[in-house]
Amino acid sequence: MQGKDKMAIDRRDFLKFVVGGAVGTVLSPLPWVSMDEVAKWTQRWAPIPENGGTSYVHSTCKLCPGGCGIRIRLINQKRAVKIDGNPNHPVNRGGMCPLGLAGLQYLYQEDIRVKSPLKRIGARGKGQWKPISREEALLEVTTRLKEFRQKDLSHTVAFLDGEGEGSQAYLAARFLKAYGSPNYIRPFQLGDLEEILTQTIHGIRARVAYDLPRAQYVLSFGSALLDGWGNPAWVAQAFQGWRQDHRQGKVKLIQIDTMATTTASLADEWIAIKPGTEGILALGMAQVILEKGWYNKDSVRSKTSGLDGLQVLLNKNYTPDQVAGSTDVNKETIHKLARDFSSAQHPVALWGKGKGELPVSLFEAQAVHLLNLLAGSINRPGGVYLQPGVSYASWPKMPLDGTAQKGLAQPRLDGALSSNYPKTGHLTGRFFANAVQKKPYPINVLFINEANPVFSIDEKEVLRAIDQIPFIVSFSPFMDETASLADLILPSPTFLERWDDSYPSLGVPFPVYGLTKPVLPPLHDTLSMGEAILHIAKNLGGTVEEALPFKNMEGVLKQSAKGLYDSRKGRLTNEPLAEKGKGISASFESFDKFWEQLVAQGTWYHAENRGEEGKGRWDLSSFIRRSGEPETAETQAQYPFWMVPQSLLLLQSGYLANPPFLTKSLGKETLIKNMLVVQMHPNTAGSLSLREGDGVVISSMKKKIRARIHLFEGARPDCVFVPLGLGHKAFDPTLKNRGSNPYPMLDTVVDPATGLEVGWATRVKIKKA
Amino acid sequence: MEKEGKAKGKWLFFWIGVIASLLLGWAAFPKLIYFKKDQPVRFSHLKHGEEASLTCEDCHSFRGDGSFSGIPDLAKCLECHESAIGSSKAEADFIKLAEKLKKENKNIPWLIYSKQPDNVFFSHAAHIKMAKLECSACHKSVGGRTEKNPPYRFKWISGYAPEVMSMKTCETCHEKKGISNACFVCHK
Repeated sequence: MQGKDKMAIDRRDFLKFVVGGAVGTVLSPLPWVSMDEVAKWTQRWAPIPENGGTSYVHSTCKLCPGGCGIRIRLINQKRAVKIDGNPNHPVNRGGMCPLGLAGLQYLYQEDIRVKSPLKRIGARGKGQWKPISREEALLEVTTRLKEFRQKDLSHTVAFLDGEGEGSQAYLAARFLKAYGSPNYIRPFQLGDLEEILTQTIHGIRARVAYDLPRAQYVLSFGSALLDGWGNPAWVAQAFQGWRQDHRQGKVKLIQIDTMATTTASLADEWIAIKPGTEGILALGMAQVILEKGWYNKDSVRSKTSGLDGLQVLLNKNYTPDQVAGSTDVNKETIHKLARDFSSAQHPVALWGKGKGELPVSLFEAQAVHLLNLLAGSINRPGGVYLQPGVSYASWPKMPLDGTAQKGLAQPRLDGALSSNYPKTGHLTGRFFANAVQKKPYPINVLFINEANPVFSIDEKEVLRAIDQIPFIVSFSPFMDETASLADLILPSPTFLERWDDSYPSLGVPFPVYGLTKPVLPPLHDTLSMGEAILHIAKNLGGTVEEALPFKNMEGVLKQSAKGLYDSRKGRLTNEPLAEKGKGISASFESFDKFWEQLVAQGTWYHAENRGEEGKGRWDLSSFIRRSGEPETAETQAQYPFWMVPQSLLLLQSGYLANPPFLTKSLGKETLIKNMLVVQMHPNTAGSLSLREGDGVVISSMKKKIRARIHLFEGARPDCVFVPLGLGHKAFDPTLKNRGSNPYPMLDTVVDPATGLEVGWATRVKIKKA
Repeated sequence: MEKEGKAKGKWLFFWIGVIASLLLGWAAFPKLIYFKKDQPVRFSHLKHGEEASLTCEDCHSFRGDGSFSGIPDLAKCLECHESAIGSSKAEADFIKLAEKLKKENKNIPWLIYSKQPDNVFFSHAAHIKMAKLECSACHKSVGGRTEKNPPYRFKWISGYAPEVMSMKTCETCHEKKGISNACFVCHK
């Protein structure tokens, strides 16, 4: 019995064994390592892209007309992981703006891209689409175009092209001409106004480019130099140069602005002007300069005409006393500015408010340009260079058939280039207004590329126009506000997936040609606008096909590049900078070799080619037709404040929607959660019994928006500052329905000199919400 | 007597439990958590280092842009091994594999012993060029005095190899050298 007892394992023994096992286990690494392992296992739940070899490809950024040289880092030659500046590029020299750095988000952000051609099946704007094949989509477009051509209605086909520059835009314009419509229209760009300005004064159609790196006295009339005006990388590097030790104190930046913007706060002096009176201040300075004889006499006497007449006008209407009264800039400051500007080495005055999103009046542009003329800064180092327009001389001559000639004889719907506005190339606002009225004829087909008029122009009018247009084709890569109202979307690839070019480089005083190429295979079923146009032209046949004798976009770009090669001038980026003056002829024995290198390096430029003199004497007599002033005493009483749009580097205000990286970086003075933040002076807020963070309703004559207020001593007391670029009703959740869009509130006036709808500051009233 | 015996017996099963679980936890478990895989190519650092007298930098170098090449790509191997060197079976196998991979434009699918987790960013330039660490400070077994590369071991739960550094290793060294241990210094 006893032996048996010893051998038997009873319940107690078993429990002891289990307890012992537990104690032992706790003292061993098993539970701890297992827990650690499980924790590490969870780290691998996130999707991990395939690793692989790194390579770099050169291309040109197409996110703005700046045309910066970029270098894209690729893994396995197909996954882009970083966009950098090309260090050898003559404009951005390795630098990049935040938008360019965030550029990959346009490529990879799945929820904003249109992934295949789409045909609308529900009512407009309901978001019901049917994916169709490219062939079907192109056929549908061609069928319609054929029909209107047969009915002699070719002029009722219009094209709104926000790219507006470069070979692809030239191709689209040429297509429309060959097809027989005068209605190739692009949304406003500062360049349009520059071309009008140079025509009125210098007798040539040219762009105005500022030699900022060598300028020594920079007088900016509201240009947001450090918030995205011009080419941001070029301007930022010029600014860095001004602030280098050996130039410290020698270069002055004077910012004339209604608020202490980024630029104003980094300037040597900030002049808080009354909104909309920049041109008047410039003329006040001009009056002082002429009266005191501080102008550059050699230059002005030998190159200009009409000086006496101008002086009479200025003495009558723009004496410092008069100007001080209307601008809120006192007499002494006007005197000081005039003296400093005219006595400085390499002075330059800039116009174009904010980033240049909205037109200023020709009056303002001319007034500021006059300062440059008086200082003798035209086509001089550190001054203003007149850059002649783009020439595509090497493209073949274009045949026009009878239908096309008939169509082209019709007036343009927007009234640009007509007897009223002979020098204005495009009037987008008027185009939509006339499309609503069907004046003088209705529009049957509208192509839209790189433009989002529903967001950036008067929303109501555009929507009404869209209602009147039976067939709208969008080339947008993204489902933006306008694309979502189209009948057919033929999505373009992004700039990292297509052949394109950038020419000229915005605001750079020498010619730069940037080539954009597909750096990785297209992610979706897309076709670039240029390729689509080539297909459609082929389907239409006849003279339309003959006008575009290209197999594909690469062929188109080769044709443009041929012009550069044949000029035997300039050089490519990777040739060392030291070899100045050595032309392209020295480097390449054939066009094919040149093309091969252009594709590899991405950029051609001709740094020595600066400035064009213009025709005859520079005409000062055309000064100065003022824009109409809508402001009456009555509106002032009802709407006591100015709403001033605010351009921000981290907020895209044009066709492109802000990428998530940038929206995330917006401060609490711009956006809090989904609420727009506007800035005003504490005293102004006090007079309205408002405190920091209070909700307000801001109403202009056209529309009202809700916002919260942020108090800022650097804001002019009679103004409220509203950021431009928020309030989208499309795109991804980081942007959609966040903030409010001030564009539809802007109260614009037609500038009688140009027909452009001018409006920056707008009269508003503010109420506590 | 009987009482004592019973008392001893009482504790016996407890101790059996303790010892058995300690054995399992300390001896068997560390082996059980690993899987093993053979490398695709038989490679010897010893042979390359001593017989061919190559230095580390001959194969593992910094690229022009400052990034580190890590394990060299196939093209680098083929600079020397364009045709077979010697007549060993390993060499013949390698040449055969290399020809196949070259056609497919692929690299040798090396199993990387010290590949860091994907949630951290590790810069060789920062550690070698700036902090002037020796390679062997982290790659302890390199130069592995073996004729054959050891099989690649990894834990079957987490998928990590034992050579993968733990966060503590990084932190300890950073602290010693006065480098910030803020999250974003390493973590993406």
